[in-house]
Amino acid sequence: MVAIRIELPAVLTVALRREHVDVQAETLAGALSAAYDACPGLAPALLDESGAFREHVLCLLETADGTLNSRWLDSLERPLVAGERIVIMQAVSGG
Amino acid sequence: MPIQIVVGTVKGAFVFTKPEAAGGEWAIKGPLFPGWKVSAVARDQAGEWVFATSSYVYGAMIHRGASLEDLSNVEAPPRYDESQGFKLNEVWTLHRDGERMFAGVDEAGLFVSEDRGASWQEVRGLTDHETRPKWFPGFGGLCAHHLLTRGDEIWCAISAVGVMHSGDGGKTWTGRNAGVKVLIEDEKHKDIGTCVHALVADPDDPERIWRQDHAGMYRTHDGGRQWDLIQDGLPSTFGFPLVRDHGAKALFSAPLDSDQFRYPTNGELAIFRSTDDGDSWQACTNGLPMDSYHAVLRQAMAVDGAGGVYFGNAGGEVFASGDLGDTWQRLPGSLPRVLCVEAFETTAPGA
Repeated sequence: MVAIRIELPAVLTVALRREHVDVQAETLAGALSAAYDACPGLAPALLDESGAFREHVLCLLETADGTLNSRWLDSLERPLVAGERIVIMQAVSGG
Repeated sequence: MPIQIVVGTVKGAFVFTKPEAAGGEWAIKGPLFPGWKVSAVARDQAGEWVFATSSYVYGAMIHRGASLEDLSNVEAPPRYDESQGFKLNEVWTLHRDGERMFAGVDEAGLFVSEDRGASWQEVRGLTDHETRPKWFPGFGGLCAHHLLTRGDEIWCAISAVGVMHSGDGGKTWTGRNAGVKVLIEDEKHKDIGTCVHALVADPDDPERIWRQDHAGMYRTHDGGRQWDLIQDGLPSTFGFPLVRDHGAKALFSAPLDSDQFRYPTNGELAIFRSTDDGDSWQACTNGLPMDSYHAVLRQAMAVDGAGGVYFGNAGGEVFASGDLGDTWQRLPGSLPRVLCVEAFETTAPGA
């Protein structure tokens, strides 16, 4: 198990009244699942009715080799490495 | 009576506190939920606050708390089951009925909470209605925005569908729109296709209901089985909010030039008042600006039951009257687009 922090964007911090969620997990999917359990309201905010990330939600994994967008992955079962961090961002287009 | 006015905007909520002394200054604080649309606010039977917020990115949330300084999101906000194929974009109205609370939402549907807003159950009888595949959105979306309840009876106003009525607590529904101009006629279902904008009932005679529609102001004396036009004195058939001071028996509306232009007629911001149950309407403009081209949106007007009338507009201006609309003053601040306005006594309803 790896200790990992999920950083929340400012607008979500306003609604959920927390800036981050700290969990222990082995994979990205496991970390997100643990965060949903630890932070009521986080899951319906990030996931649509089908259980996928909402259209304008970005989930980024900051690794030693750079930032990995979860949308580039075939599966969220990507193993975590100590020192990595998950950052949730809103991908809002427009000026 | 100490009064707080909660103003929901596209970027948070603001709270105005009415001065207790004549001539005193209104106080404003906020925003609550900065960055979030605040589309509805209510207090439950115990006096706790319930706020509905939504975000283009994160969907709809419900928050509740004993004070405005201590509001927490609930774990299980209204949400459609995946199998239905509907999206829950926003809560348009929160309606308290005793210990129950209803939420009317976009995409159009109805949810009920039996635990003071902590969890919500969909009223499937409405979303499973045979006409549902033929419902279509208005300019503001496909939304259930006004609710009336009396025992097992529910009237639910949906744009652009009309008024749906249930006599069995939401299990079965029928359209109640006879007499109202149909905007887009359905080939088969003749009781939908109207576009109701607001709904208000007489608590002393719940079968008597007024509705501001897309194409007219109407009244019914029989719970919506038949509606009649009542727009003598109104400058247009189009507008959004409609509220009633039940003690004074005064109705208030905010007509707009037309559905094409959607601003006050000739730029003259006016609230129209009727003191004869809608038979006639008079403009209330004393203190309101000329050259005003902002609409007053659907939920953006309220009364406090003690002569106070309040509204906000799409330009972020908020106005108050303490004398049933005879005179108006603009409240401090220049806010984002105003979505909803509610008036509350500062003491809890049950206190």
